[in-house]
Amino acid sequence: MSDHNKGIPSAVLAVLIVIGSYVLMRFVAEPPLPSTLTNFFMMFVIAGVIIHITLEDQRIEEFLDFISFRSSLPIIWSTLRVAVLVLLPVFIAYNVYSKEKVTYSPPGELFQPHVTPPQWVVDLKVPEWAAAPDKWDAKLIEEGRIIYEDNCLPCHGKEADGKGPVAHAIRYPAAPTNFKEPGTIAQLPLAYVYWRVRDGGIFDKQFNSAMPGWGEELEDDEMWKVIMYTYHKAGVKPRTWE
Amino acid sequence: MGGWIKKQFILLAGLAIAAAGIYIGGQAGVDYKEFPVIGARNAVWIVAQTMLLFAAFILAVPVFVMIIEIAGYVKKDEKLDKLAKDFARLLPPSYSITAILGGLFTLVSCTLFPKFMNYMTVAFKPTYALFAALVFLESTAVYIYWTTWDKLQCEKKMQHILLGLVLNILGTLVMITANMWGSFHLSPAGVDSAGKFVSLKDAIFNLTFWPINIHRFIANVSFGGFICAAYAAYKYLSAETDNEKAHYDWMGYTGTFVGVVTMIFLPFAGYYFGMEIYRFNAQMGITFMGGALSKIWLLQAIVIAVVFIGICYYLWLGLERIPGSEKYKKYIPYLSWGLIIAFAVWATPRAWVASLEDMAGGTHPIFGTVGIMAPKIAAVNIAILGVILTFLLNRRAGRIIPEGRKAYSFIQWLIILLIIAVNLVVLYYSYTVPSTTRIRLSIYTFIFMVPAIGLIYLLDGLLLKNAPRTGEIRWGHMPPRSQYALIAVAVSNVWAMALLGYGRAAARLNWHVYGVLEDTSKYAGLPALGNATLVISGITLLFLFLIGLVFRFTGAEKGGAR
Repeated sequence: MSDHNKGIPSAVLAVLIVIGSYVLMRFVAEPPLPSTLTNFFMMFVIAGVIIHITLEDQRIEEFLDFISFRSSLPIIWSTLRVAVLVLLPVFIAYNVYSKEKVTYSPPGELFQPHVTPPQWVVDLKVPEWAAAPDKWDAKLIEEGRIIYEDNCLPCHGKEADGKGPVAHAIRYPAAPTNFKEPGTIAQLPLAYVYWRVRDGGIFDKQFNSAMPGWGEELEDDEMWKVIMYTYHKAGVKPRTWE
Repeated sequence: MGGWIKKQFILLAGLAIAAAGIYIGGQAGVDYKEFPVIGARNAVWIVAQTMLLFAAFILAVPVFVMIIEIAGYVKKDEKLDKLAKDFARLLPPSYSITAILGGLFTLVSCTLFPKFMNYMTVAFKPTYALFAALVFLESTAVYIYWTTWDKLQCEKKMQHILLGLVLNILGTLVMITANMWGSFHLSPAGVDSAGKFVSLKDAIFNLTFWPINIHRFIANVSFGGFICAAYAAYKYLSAETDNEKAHYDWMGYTGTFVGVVTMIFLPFAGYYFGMEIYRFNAQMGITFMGGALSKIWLLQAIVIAVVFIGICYYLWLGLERIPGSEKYKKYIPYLSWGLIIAFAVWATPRAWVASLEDMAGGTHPIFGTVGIMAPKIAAVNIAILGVILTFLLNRRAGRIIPEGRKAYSFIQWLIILLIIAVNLVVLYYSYTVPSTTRIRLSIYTFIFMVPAIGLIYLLDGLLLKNAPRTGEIRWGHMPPRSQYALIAVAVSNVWAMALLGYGRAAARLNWHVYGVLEDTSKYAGLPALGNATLVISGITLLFLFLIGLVFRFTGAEKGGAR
């Protein structure tokens, strides 16, 4: 976007950066970024472009000349200029239309990964045999594997990566957790994970996931064993309360 | 004497309003009362936060006024003395507004939330008297400090500097006394299991007392610097002569410098504060950082982005007024896009508003991984480095570096590369180590960065010592958009202060005093974040209106200093 770019005028490059960033986020990234998040990041891109253009008077003039048709450009760039000036209002109108049209999707939800645990969770004493990950017994982890594969695998997957056979059916508001991600159980203390396994995802209207509570299906020891196996399989360690 | 009485009259009026509030609260006979139209919570919130913003301002300004005054005295530079005086002239009207707002806050909160305020009054009674005495002394010190500025010059200058020191000590003590109450709300101590107050000493020295003191002090100075820079920008835009323009351009630069230098230390104070919150109660820590209030940090990232990038934008434009700066301009695009990317990482949510169409949730491979703390901490550190490099460019521009000093520059570059490398290595490990280790790593990284940055500046001092200029800096030759950038920085800073004020209060959830005195009013639940931001924006506008009045009616001496 420098003025030394003989080939492409700054204003054209600015337009290409804005369009390119949008295409990258919505059509190249896999899976695409959610539209609301794309708009959020586009705010940064546009801010960056505006800052760059307004850093020098010459660039400002060049940009104003471009959008007011004062500068004469090669046919390719002048076509792009017309295209931008025609398509920009169309794009804005489409966004307004998309926002206003009636859809049958449920309303968006503010997903909250780490809800505040009740005090009993903070005070919970983890059984001695489950408290220290370095001393976990391989036999207990193996027992945890059997429980995991019987109950958790369909959603959370054989590899604890959230890609179980039925995971695709459960995607709103949150897909089954990929435990290998650094932002999931690796950020949580054992007692917190125990609480989530025991009570599931639907409680207090705080966290509206499809995760059922296992407190009535599994014994306490079984839940601890499955937690141990989950950490073991995901290759991460639990957090401790600060 | 007459002037002193007049000034103290406003303060006494504030104290009388406060005393009336405490009395009315004591006689209320009910737990809560309602306020028309905006409701009781919003009424207290608006007055409290606006008062806190003014309190921050009047604490901050004397700190750097004293530093500039000392610099002027040591260097025997009258221009610095006039600059300090120009900052100080904002103090007397700001004190008066703070006094009235303080009185109003006490009146409104005691009248509308008597249960809570009566509990606090009984528990902290001795500190209330101490606070009133300190405020009275501080107000007197401001009056003497301001009115003796011209009288205590030359050989008497040291006396005036000592007066400034006394004023700063009193201001800090006032802040510390108020923080006894605020930190107690958040992390109460000195109470028994039934919530009965047993020890004033323990209540004062609760877990978040020192973190709040440190965090507030640094944040206040930074805030004061940016507000003064906005004042200078306003004056610059309305200046009529070149001399005035040059003076206010220099003043804006100095205010910005004060704001940035102090702001760089804020993340460190913030981590310390956060750690103490977790130590007090992990539940509150999760609510604050990862739970219901976690979106506050995304908003904070955006407003801090405006502050940091706005400052850099101002400084990049400032290169225009430095002859010989051309060769440094080629670095600006790298810095600006580097900062944009760093702040985009900081503002990346861990999870987003999920719609069925987006199939979002917390597991998106891009923002799910970028949105956690590890890359954000690295991004903050890189952004800080970007601001520092911008300042270095400004210092370096237009200077001819003497022969034989290239080694200093080489070592500077090595340190900068080392900072980047350390951050990238820590970032890599942060994804693999347990969270507790990660948090410690982030603190160690910052502890490493502070002396490293100090060393960069030390080397810069040696590098540029007596280095000749290719030409004089053309103070007063800044485009108007640079000044609007300073105003935008100040507005964002006010918004950020109000946002974090809300965050700290909201961390208590449905408690007036966390775990001790429950909020049983109809306002016990948190407002939705959208509603909260509306109130925060309202507070920002109110503060800007009031500080605008201070700017408008603060007469500056004609004829700039520079």
